[in-house]
Amino acid sequence: MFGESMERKRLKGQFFILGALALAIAFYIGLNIPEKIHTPHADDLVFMSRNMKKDLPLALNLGLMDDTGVQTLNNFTLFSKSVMRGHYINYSLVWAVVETLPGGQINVTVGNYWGEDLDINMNVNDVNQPVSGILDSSTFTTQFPPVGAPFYNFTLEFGEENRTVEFANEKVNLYSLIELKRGEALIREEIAA
Amino acid sequence: MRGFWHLVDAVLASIILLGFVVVMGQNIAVMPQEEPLNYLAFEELMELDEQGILRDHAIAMDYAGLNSHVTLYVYNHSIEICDSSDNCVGERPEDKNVWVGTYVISGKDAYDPHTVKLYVW
Repeated sequence: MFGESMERKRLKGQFFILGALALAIAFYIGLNIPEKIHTPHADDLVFMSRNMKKDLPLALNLGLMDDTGVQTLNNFTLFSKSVMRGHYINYSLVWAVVETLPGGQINVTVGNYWGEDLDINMNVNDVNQPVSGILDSSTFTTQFPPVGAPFYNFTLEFGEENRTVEFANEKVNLYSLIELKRGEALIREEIAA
Repeated sequence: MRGFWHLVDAVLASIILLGFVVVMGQNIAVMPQEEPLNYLAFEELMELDEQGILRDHAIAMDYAGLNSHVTLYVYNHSIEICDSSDNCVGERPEDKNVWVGTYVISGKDAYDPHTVKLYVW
């Protein structure tokens, strides 16, 4: 008799626990719990990319004023990479300076700062020039035949990137693809000037 | 014997209750988000550049003069300017909760790269 009574009391206690658990689950499900806010700390990547969109072409212009165009662009690239590194930003870029020589040929200088050696394909008005193994942090210069028109198409292709821009024959043109990365936050921008 | 089972019930109930509180706490307690003042700092530097104020002061390493043009009146702010050799002048605050906006310039009339940092707190 006593054992039976105890069994009933034990079961009663367990029902209380199960009831409490069911209530807790119902309460939990019923609540509209907001998702945790994850801030990727990508704000400064946006700022820095805006900054680079402004000052990368300016660096080339400043260099052209004292006939050190590509060299100055090179120096500014290394300077800005070092500043970004101080902010734990992995800054990668490829740029191309495209200008018409006095003889009409199109001179193309490519700067590879992508963080790895690259196979790059360049195209000016359907004339193709593939170049293999351009070393990281180096430049490569080549020439294309005259285009004989005020505007021409320039295509830069490497890895999965394939970009075509229209350039003017009468000026020094800059094209750059920049990438700023920190952890999973990534910003990729094009600069054409 | 009865007391023992009451004790077991009480312990189980406590474990369930604690587990519930912990699970709820993990999901509801969201860290308070601070206002991103680095955005304000960068916008301020860009605005000073648009106004033609920033580059002259940066190249002259005139941090006090540049700081006097900063219009973030609600906050404390200071400027630090570094050249390409990483020689820096200016005031870096010691406070704990400081935001910084960084702006890189290539030069103005000639190539002369500098970094301008605006600290806001």
